[in-house]
Amino acid sequence: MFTYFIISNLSETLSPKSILISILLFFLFLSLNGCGSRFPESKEFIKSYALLNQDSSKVVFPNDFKNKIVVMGFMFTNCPDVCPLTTNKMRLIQEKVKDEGLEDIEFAELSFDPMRDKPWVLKKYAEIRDLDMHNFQFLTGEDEQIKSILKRVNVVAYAEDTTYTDEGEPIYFFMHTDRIILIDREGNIRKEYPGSHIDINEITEDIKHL
Amino acid sequence: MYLLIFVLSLLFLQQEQLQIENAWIRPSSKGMNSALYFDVKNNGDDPLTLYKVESDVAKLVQIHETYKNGDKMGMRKVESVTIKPKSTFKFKPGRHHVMLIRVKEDLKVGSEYDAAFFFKNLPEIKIKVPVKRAN
Repeated sequence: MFTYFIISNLSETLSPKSILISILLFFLFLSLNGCGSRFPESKEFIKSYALLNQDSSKVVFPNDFKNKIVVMGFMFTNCPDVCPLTTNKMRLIQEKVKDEGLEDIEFAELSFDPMRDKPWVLKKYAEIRDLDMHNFQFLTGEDEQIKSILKRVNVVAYAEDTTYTDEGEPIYFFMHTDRIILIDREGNIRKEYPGSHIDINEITEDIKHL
Repeated sequence: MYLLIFVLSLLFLQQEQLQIENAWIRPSSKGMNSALYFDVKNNGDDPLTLYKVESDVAKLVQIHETYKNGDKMGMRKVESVTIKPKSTFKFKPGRHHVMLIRVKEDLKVGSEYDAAFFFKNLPEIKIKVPVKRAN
Protein backbone atom coordinates (compact mmCIF):
# COMPACT_ATOMS: atom_id res chain seq x y z
CA MET A 1 0.00 0.00 0.00
CA PHE A 2 2.80 2.34 1.01
CA THR A 3 4.75 1.39 -2.12
CA TYR A 4 1.68 2.12 -4.23
CA PHE A 5 1.33 5.52 -2.55
CA ILE A 6 4.98 6.38 -3.25
CA ILE A 7 4.80 5.26 -6.88
CA SER A 8 1.50 7.12 -7.44
CA ASN A 9 2.97 10.35 -6.10
CA LEU A 10 6.23 9.92 -7.93
CA SER A 11 4.44 9.24 -11.18
CA GLU A 12 2.83 12.65 -10.88
CA THR A 13 6.18 14.41 -10.61
CA LEU A 14 8.51 12.16 -12.65
CA SER A 15 8.29 10.95 -16.22
CA PRO A 16 7.68 7.21 -16.80
CA LYS A 17 11.19 6.98 -18.29
CA SER A 18 12.77 8.38 -15.09
CA ILE A 19 10.80 5.93 -12.95
CA LEU A 20 11.86 2.99 -15.12
CA ILE A 21 15.54 4.00 -14.92
CA SER A 22 15.25 4.41 -11.13
CA ILE A 23 13.73 0.94 -10.75
CA LEU A 24 16.45 -0.61 -12.93
CA LEU A 25 19.19 1.14 -10.95
CA PHE A 26 17.62 -0.05 -7.70
CA PHE A 27 17.67 -3.72 -8.82
CA LEU A 28 21.17 -3.33 -10.23
CA PHE A 29 22.34 -2.06 -6.82
CA LEU A 30 20.65 -5.00 -5.10
CA SER A 31 22.26 -7.58 -7.41
CA LEU A 32 25.73 -6.03 -7.18
CA ASN A 33 25.48 -5.86 -3.42
CA GLY A 34 24.62 -9.59 -3.29
CA CYS A 35 27.33 -10.72 -5.73
CA GLY A 36 29.99 -8.64 -4.09
CA SER A 37 29.49 -10.16 -0.68
CA ARG A 38 32.72 -11.78 0.50
CA PHE A 39 30.90 -14.35 2.58
CA PRO A 40 27.67 -15.37 0.87
CA GLU A 41 26.56 -17.68 3.68
CA SER A 42 27.12 -18.59 7.28
CA LYS A 43 26.31 -22.04 8.62
CA GLU A 44 26.90 -23.33 12.12
CA PHE A 45 27.80 -26.88 13.09
CA ILE A 46 24.81 -27.18 15.54
CA LYS A 47 26.51 -29.90 17.58
CA SER A 48 30.05 -30.92 18.54
CA TYR A 49 31.96 -34.02 17.45
CA ALA A 50 34.42 -36.24 19.31
CA LEU A 51 37.52 -36.79 17.19
CA LEU A 52 41.16 -37.83 17.54
CA ASN A 53 44.16 -36.04 16.12
CA GLN A 54 47.43 -37.46 14.76
CA ASP A 55 48.79 -37.75 18.32
CA SER A 56 45.71 -39.71 19.46
CA SER A 57 44.66 -36.69 21.55
CA LYS A 58 40.94 -36.08 21.90
CA VAL A 59 39.57 -33.15 19.93
CA VAL A 60 36.07 -31.76 20.38
CA PHE A 61 35.21 -30.19 17.09
CA PRO A 62 34.50 -27.32 16.56
CA ASN A 63 34.47 -26.30 20.27
CA ASP A 64 38.21 -26.75 20.75
CA PHE A 65 38.83 -24.24 17.96
CA LYS A 66 36.63 -21.51 19.44
CA ASN A 67 38.08 -18.00 19.08
CA LYS A 68 40.31 -19.21 16.26
CA ILE A 69 39.82 -19.06 12.52
CA VAL A 70 40.01 -22.56 11.05
CA VAL A 71 41.09 -23.55 7.55
CA MET A 72 39.79 -27.08 7.13
CA GLY A 73 40.46 -29.61 4.36
CA PHE A 74 39.17 -33.10 3.65
CA MET A 75 41.34 -36.03 2.58
CA PHE A 76 42.38 -39.68 2.86
CA THR A 77 46.01 -40.72 3.19
CA ASN A 78 45.87 -43.46 0.54
CA CYS A 79 45.09 -40.78 -2.05
CA PRO A 80 48.23 -40.27 -4.15
CA ASP A 81 47.23 -37.28 -6.24
CA VAL A 82 44.38 -34.90 -5.30
CA CYS A 83 44.55 -35.04 -1.47
CA PRO A 84 48.30 -34.35 -1.29
CA LEU A 85 47.58 -31.36 -3.54
CA THR A 86 45.04 -30.12 -0.98
CA THR A 87 47.49 -30.75 1.87
CA ASN A 88 50.14 -28.84 -0.03
CA LYS A 89 47.74 -25.94 -0.58
CA MET A 90 47.04 -25.93 3.18
CA ARG A 91 50.79 -25.75 3.79
CA LEU A 92 51.13 -22.83 1.36
CA ILE A 93 48.22 -20.98 3.04
CA GLN A 94 49.85 -21.63 6.42
CA GLU A 95 53.12 -20.10 5.15
CA LYS A 96 51.33 -17.13 3.56
CA VAL A 97 49.32 -16.17 6.66
CA LYS A 98 52.47 -16.52 8.76
CA ASP A 99 54.37 -14.23 6.38
CA GLU A 100 51.55 -11.70 6.60
CA GLY A 101 51.58 -11.79 10.39
CA LEU A 102 48.02 -13.10 10.75
CA GLU A 103 47.43 -14.84 14.07
CA ASP A 104 44.98 -17.19 15.76
CA ILE A 105 44.54 -19.39 12.70
CA GLU A 106 44.39 -23.17 12.93
CA PHE A 107 44.67 -25.71 10.13
CA ALA A 108 42.85 -29.04 10.20
CA GLU A 109 42.42 -31.86 7.72
CA LEU A 110 39.70 -34.40 8.36
CA SER A 111 40.05 -37.90 6.95
CA PHE A 112 36.94 -39.41 5.40
CA ASP A 113 38.60 -42.85 5.56
CA PRO A 114 38.65 -43.48 9.34
CA MET A 115 38.86 -47.25 8.86
CA ARG A 116 42.40 -46.95 7.46
CA ASP A 117 43.41 -43.49 8.67
CA LYS A 118 44.21 -44.17 12.29
CA PRO A 119 46.06 -41.44 14.24
CA TRP A 120 49.51 -43.00 13.67
CA VAL A 121 48.84 -43.18 9.91
CA LEU A 122 47.95 -39.49 9.92
CA LYS A 123 51.08 -38.71 11.93
CA LYS A 124 53.26 -40.49 9.40
CA TYR A 125 51.48 -38.68 6.54
CA ALA A 126 52.35 -35.35 8.19
CA GLU A 127 55.92 -36.34 9.05
CA ILE A 128 56.89 -37.52 5.57
CA ARG A 129 55.71 -34.15 4.24
CA ASP A 130 57.68 -32.25 6.85
CA LEU A 131 54.67 -30.13 7.80
CA ASP A 132 54.80 -27.43 10.45
CA MET A 133 52.41 -28.94 13.00
CA HIS A 134 52.35 -26.11 15.54
CA ASN A 135 48.90 -25.02 14.32
CA PHE A 136 48.04 -27.96 12.03
CA GLN A 137 46.11 -31.08 13.00
CA PHE A 138 44.94 -34.15 11.14
CA LEU A 139 41.65 -35.50 12.41
CA THR A 140 39.97 -38.88 12.39
CA GLY A 141 37.36 -40.62 14.53
CA GLU A 142 34.39 -42.94 14.61
CA ASP A 143 32.76 -43.48 11.25
CA GLU A 144 29.44 -42.05 12.47
CA GLN A 145 31.05 -38.82 13.68
CA ILE A 146 32.94 -38.37 10.42
CA LYS A 147 29.83 -38.98 8.31
CA SER A 148 27.88 -36.48 10.37
CA ILE A 149 30.51 -33.76 9.84
CA LEU A 150 30.74 -34.53 6.11
CA LYS A 151 26.98 -34.19 5.78
CA ARG A 152 27.06 -30.84 7.55
CA VAL A 153 29.77 -29.46 5.27
CA ASN A 154 28.33 -31.01 2.09
CA VAL A 155 31.38 -33.16 1.42
CA VAL A 156 30.69 -36.46 -0.33
CA ALA A 157 33.13 -39.39 -0.25
CA TYR A 158 32.51 -42.95 -1.38
CA ALA A 159 34.83 -45.83 -2.10
CA GLU A 160 35.22 -46.84 -5.74
CA ASP A 161 36.04 -50.23 -7.25
CA THR A 162 38.44 -52.44 -5.34
CA THR A 163 41.45 -54.07 -7.00
CA TYR A 164 43.90 -56.48 -5.37
CA THR A 165 47.70 -56.77 -5.16
CA ASP A 166 49.37 -60.13 -5.96
CA GLU A 167 49.14 -60.92 -2.24
CA GLY A 168 45.39 -60.35 -2.29
CA GLU A 169 45.53 -57.03 -0.48
CA PRO A 170 42.53 -54.85 -1.38
CA ILE A 171 43.27 -51.49 -2.99
CA TYR A 172 40.54 -48.90 -3.25
CA PHE A 173 40.25 -45.18 -3.64
CA PHE A 174 37.55 -42.62 -2.96
CA MET A 175 35.55 -40.41 -5.26
CA HIS A 176 35.25 -37.30 -3.16
CA THR A 177 34.42 -33.64 -3.00
CA ASP A 178 37.48 -31.48 -3.49
CA ARG A 179 37.02 -28.98 -0.67
CA ILE A 180 38.60 -26.59 1.81
CA ILE A 181 36.31 -24.59 4.11
CA LEU A 182 36.84 -21.47 6.19
CA ILE A 183 35.38 -21.40 9.72
CA ASP A 184 35.11 -18.18 11.74
CA ARG A 185 35.92 -17.62 15.41
CA GLU A 186 32.41 -18.55 16.46
CA GLY A 187 32.58 -21.90 14.68
CA ASN A 188 30.45 -20.96 11.67
CA ILE A 189 31.28 -22.17 8.17
CA ARG A 190 31.75 -18.99 6.14
CA LYS A 191 33.08 -20.06 2.76
CA GLU A 192 33.91 -23.09 0.61
CA TYR A 193 36.80 -23.40 -1.86
CA PRO A 194 38.02 -26.07 -4.30
CA GLY A 195 40.63 -27.86 -2.18
CA SER A 196 43.28 -28.88 -4.69
CA HIS A 197 43.30 -25.62 -6.64
CA ILE A 198 42.24 -23.04 -4.09
CA ASP A 199 43.32 -19.43 -4.73
CA ILE A 200 45.70 -18.78 -1.83
CA ASN A 201 45.44 -15.00 -2.15
CA GLU A 202 41.63 -15.19 -2.04
CA ILE A 203 41.46 -17.19 1.18
CA THR A 204 44.17 -15.02 2.78
CA GLU A 205 42.10 -11.91 2.03
CA ASP A 206 39.00 -13.67 3.37
CA ILE A 207 40.80 -14.51 6.60
CA LYS A 208 41.68 -10.83 7.01
CA HIS A 209 37.97 -9.95 6.79
CA LEU A 210 36.81 -12.36 9.50
CA MET B 1 79.80 -55.36 -33.92
CA TYR B 2 76.82 -54.87 -36.26
CA LEU B 3 74.52 -55.62 -33.35
CA LEU B 4 76.21 -52.99 -31.22
CA ILE B 5 75.87 -50.39 -33.99
CA PHE B 6 72.22 -51.35 -34.41
CA VAL B 7 71.48 -50.99 -30.69
CA LEU B 8 73.35 -47.67 -30.48
CA SER B 9 71.46 -46.39 -33.52
CA LEU B 10 68.18 -47.39 -31.95
CA LEU B 11 69.08 -45.63 -28.71
CA PHE B 12 70.15 -42.53 -30.63
CA LEU B 13 66.93 -42.49 -32.66
CA GLN B 14 64.88 -43.01 -29.54
CA GLN B 15 66.59 -40.12 -27.78
CA GLU B 16 65.97 -37.93 -30.79
CA GLN B 17 62.36 -38.94 -31.01
CA LEU B 18 61.36 -38.61 -27.37
CA GLN B 19 62.55 -37.13 -24.13
CA ILE B 20 61.32 -37.68 -20.59
CA GLU B 21 61.87 -34.57 -18.52
CA ASN B 22 61.07 -33.06 -15.12
CA ALA B 23 60.29 -36.43 -13.54
CA TRP B 24 59.59 -36.47 -9.82
CA ILE B 25 57.90 -38.63 -7.20
CA ARG B 26 55.71 -37.35 -4.40
CA PRO B 27 56.92 -38.15 -0.86
CA SER B 28 55.04 -40.96 0.83
CA SER B 29 55.44 -43.43 3.66
CA LYS B 30 55.97 -47.18 3.45
CA GLY B 31 52.80 -49.09 2.67
CA MET B 32 51.00 -46.02 1.31
CA ASN B 33 50.60 -44.74 -2.24
CA SER B 34 52.43 -42.12 -4.24
CA ALA B 35 52.55 -40.74 -7.76
CA LEU B 36 55.19 -40.21 -10.40
CA TYR B 37 54.96 -37.14 -12.62
CA PHE B 38 56.94 -36.24 -15.75
CA ASP B 39 56.80 -34.63 -19.19
CA VAL B 40 57.03 -36.68 -22.38
CA LYS B 41 58.36 -34.68 -25.30
CA ASN B 42 57.53 -36.23 -28.67
CA ASN B 43 59.92 -34.67 -31.20
CA GLY B 44 59.00 -37.10 -33.96
CA ASP B 45 56.46 -37.05 -36.76
CA ASP B 46 54.48 -40.03 -35.42
CA PRO B 47 52.37 -40.41 -32.31
CA LEU B 48 53.90 -42.21 -29.33
CA THR B 49 52.03 -44.56 -27.03
CA LEU B 50 53.09 -45.06 -23.43
CA TYR B 51 51.53 -48.29 -22.23
CA LYS B 52 53.51 -49.28 -19.14
CA VAL B 53 55.78 -47.94 -16.43
CA GLU B 54 57.72 -50.21 -14.10
CA SER B 55 59.50 -49.48 -10.84
CA ASP B 56 60.60 -51.57 -7.89
CA VAL B 57 59.60 -48.78 -5.56
CA ALA B 58 55.98 -50.01 -5.31
CA LYS B 59 54.03 -53.26 -5.34
CA LEU B 60 51.82 -52.04 -8.16
CA VAL B 61 52.54 -49.40 -10.79
CA GLN B 62 49.69 -48.19 -12.98
CA ILE B 63 48.97 -45.32 -15.33
CA HIS B 64 46.03 -43.32 -13.95
CA GLU B 65 44.12 -40.20 -14.64
CA THR B 66 42.33 -37.95 -12.18
CA TYR B 67 38.90 -36.92 -13.38
CA LYS B 68 36.28 -34.47 -12.24
CA ASN B 69 32.58 -35.07 -11.77
CA GLY B 70 30.97 -31.81 -10.64
CA ASP B 71 32.89 -30.78 -7.53
CA LYS B 72 34.05 -34.35 -6.90
CA MET B 73 37.37 -35.86 -7.94
CA GLY B 74 38.18 -39.49 -8.69
CA MET B 75 40.91 -41.60 -10.26
CA ARG B 76 40.80 -44.32 -12.86
CA LYS B 77 43.31 -46.59 -14.52
CA VAL B 78 44.09 -45.96 -18.19
CA GLU B 79 45.61 -48.59 -20.47
CA SER B 80 47.82 -46.19 -22.41
CA VAL B 81 48.45 -42.56 -23.22
CA THR B 82 49.12 -41.29 -26.74
CA ILE B 83 51.42 -38.33 -27.23
CA LYS B 84 50.80 -36.43 -30.43
CA PRO B 85 53.72 -35.67 -32.80
CA LYS B 86 55.70 -32.51 -32.04
CA SER B 87 54.07 -32.06 -28.67
CA THR B 88 54.70 -32.44 -24.94
CA PHE B 89 52.37 -34.40 -22.70
CA LYS B 90 52.54 -33.51 -19.03
CA PHE B 91 51.82 -36.10 -16.37
CA LYS B 92 51.06 -33.68 -13.56
CA PRO B 93 49.19 -33.38 -10.24
CA GLY B 94 45.44 -33.45 -10.69
CA ARG B 95 45.74 -34.97 -14.19
CA HIS B 96 47.45 -38.06 -15.59
CA HIS B 97 50.02 -39.67 -13.32
CA VAL B 98 51.74 -42.96 -12.69
CA MET B 99 50.29 -44.39 -9.52
CA LEU B 100 52.76 -46.05 -7.17
CA ILE B 101 50.61 -48.34 -5.07
CA ARG B 102 51.91 -49.62 -1.72
CA VAL B 103 55.40 -48.18 -1.79
CA LYS B 104 58.01 -50.49 -0.29
CA GLU B 105 59.78 -47.91 1.86
CA ASP B 106 59.46 -44.32 2.99
CA LEU B 107 59.93 -42.05 -0.02
CA LYS B 108 61.83 -39.13 1.42
CA VAL B 109 62.72 -35.88 -0.30
CA GLY B 110 66.17 -36.21 -1.88
CA SER B 111 66.10 -39.95 -2.52
CA GLU B 112 66.02 -41.39 -6.07
CA TYR B 113 64.37 -44.44 -7.61
CA ASP B 114 64.64 -46.25 -10.92
CA ALA B 115 61.72 -46.23 -13.31
CA ALA B 116 61.34 -47.83 -16.76
CA PHE B 117 59.01 -46.42 -19.40
CA PHE B 118 57.58 -48.60 -22.17
CA PHE B 119 56.44 -47.04 -25.45
CA LYS B 120 55.00 -49.06 -28.32
CA ASN B 121 57.64 -50.01 -30.94
CA LEU B 122 60.49 -48.51 -28.94
CA PRO B 123 63.02 -49.97 -26.50
CA GLU B 124 62.35 -49.28 -22.84
CA ILE B 125 63.71 -46.07 -21.34
CA LYS B 126 65.24 -46.21 -17.87
CA ILE B 127 65.73 -43.10 -15.74
CA LYS B 128 66.33 -42.20 -12.11
CA VAL B 129 63.53 -40.19 -10.54
CA PRO B 130 64.01 -37.97 -7.47
CA VAL B 131 61.50 -37.60 -4.64
CA LYS B 132 60.48 -33.95 -4.42
CA ARG B 133 58.08 -31.82 -2.47
CA ALA B 134 55.43 -30.17 -4.66
CA ASN B 135 55.58 -26.39 -5.07
